Amino acid sequence: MSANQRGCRSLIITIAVIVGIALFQIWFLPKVLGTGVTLPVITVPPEKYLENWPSPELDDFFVNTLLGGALMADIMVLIFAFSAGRWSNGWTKKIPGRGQAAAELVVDGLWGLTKQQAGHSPKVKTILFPIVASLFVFLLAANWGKLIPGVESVGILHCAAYKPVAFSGLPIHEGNILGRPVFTLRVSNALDVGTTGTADAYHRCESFISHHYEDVELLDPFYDAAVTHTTVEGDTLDSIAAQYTTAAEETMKDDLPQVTTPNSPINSGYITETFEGYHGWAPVEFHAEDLLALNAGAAAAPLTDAEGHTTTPALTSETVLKPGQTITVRNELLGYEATTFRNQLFTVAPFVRGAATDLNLTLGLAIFSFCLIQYFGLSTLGPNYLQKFVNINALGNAGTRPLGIVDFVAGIFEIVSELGKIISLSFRLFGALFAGSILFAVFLFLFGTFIPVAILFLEIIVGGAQAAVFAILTLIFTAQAMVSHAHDDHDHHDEVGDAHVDEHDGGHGQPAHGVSA
Amino acid sequence: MEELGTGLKAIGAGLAMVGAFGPGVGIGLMVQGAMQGIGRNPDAAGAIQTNMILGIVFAEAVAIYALVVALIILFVL
Repeated sequence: MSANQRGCRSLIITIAVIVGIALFQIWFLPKVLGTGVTLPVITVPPEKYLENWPSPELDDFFVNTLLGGALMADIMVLIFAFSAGRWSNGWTKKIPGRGQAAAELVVDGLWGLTKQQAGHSPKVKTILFPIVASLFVFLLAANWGKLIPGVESVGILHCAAYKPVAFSGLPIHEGNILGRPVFTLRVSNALDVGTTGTADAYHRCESFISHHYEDVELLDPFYDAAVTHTTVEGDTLDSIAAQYTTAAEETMKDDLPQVTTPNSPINSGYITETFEGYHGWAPVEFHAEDLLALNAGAAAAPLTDAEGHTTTPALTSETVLKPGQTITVRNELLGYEATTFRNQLFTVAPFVRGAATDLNLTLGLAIFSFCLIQYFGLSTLGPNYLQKFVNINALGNAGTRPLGIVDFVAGIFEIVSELGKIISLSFRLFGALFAGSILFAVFLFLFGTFIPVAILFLEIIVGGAQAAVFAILTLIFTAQAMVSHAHDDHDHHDEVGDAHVDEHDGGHGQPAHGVSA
Repeated sequence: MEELGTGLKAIGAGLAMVGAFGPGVGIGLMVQGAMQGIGRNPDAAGAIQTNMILGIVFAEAVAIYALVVALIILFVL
């Protein structure tokens, strides 16, 4: 067998596997097992694990999936640290094994970078380096931990409430219905993402889960929306029900091929029935009894007898109704009619979510970094550090150097850019990681399996890069804060007039220069 | 009118991502400069790469802000 033949065979096998996987997802699962694709969870706030703990107002804050993700990252870091200690016999091995070499590579790389950027004063060695290294290792564990199978995908399966989007209640004879059903998540219990779902929606979805409806779809001319009717002279509940049933049937007749084979039986808590008629579609019917139950408060038309007494008869299905009032034909589609494969989707609220896909964590870390930067700036330069923001020196020299006012104004802008560091650090990490989750979920939704693996490789790169970027930016900002520009200005100011501007610009462009030199 | 709102949200999210245009150009220019620098002075490749990546990160941040805005429009609003 030549190389070409072998290559050909491999190619065919690969394509067959991809096609098989795709068919499994889009054909086998719905047709044979009657299960749908779970909708990926796309929600910004973390989900709480416990309801009403420690109090109903605070149950979002303490015990949630963010805590789960952060704890998972912590455990990963600890396992790595202890394993590295074991591999290296408590850091006594002179010739490192593979694990020890990996640990040393990380630490050496970070220490080299720290030395290069911030020097090796005792404070940098004992405070800055451990913090920066911890940030890097923690974020690396958090970002890569989110790619472990089961994280962000194993959780509680629950129903996504069916929420039709249509021109609500538009009677069909008034025009076309343009809206199409869409799906939103509307639940609010612990570990249930989204907004509140109705009891009806849950009932439908649960009966769908337990009975695996298949092969029955509904052509509902009203798209599951509420339908109301304004009565005219001579309307009864019977006539209204008949009118809307006929209207629904007329619409369906135009759109669908009629066949006579019965569809598969439907068994649920609602009804046991075999449909005949339109292939694959359940009929929409309205009954006067349902209308009676829905419109208990409707007024019948008053009757005037021969002697001029006016009486209002009790409301039955045959009573002539008072014209001009609004009759609810139905609120929302209920029961088996709404419970079809196409209009139900499920979603998973995961037990553990990637820690950095939550803005709370990234914002917290960014505020911590900000405090670190200010601490190093203040403790290294003393009160002079604040001259960077409110340049009193330049203001004081304004008499001899009017252009110094520019320095003062630039200092005010420094305040904004300093606060911007919090936003830039936190949103960069959050945006990259959250977008990665969404990208992966969307690809899973489109291709099922196999192809999203490519996204996993991308995620490994992005996760590592973002962890490194967060740590290194903290390091660089701190190094920047420890360099005094005002001091340089003061030294050269009197002797060199013109050269000062260049010196100043150079100092800004290479903030680390002063320390590493 | 709900579907109109959904459509407008989608348009808004798409428009927000126009903000990725500038960073794309910026990163391209940065890498161009770095590549030229490395071509002229291959010994400085290490230092140039480090600074290039830093610059890319700053430019990329702007694109990520746009992305965050788009995500917020789609999933939070």
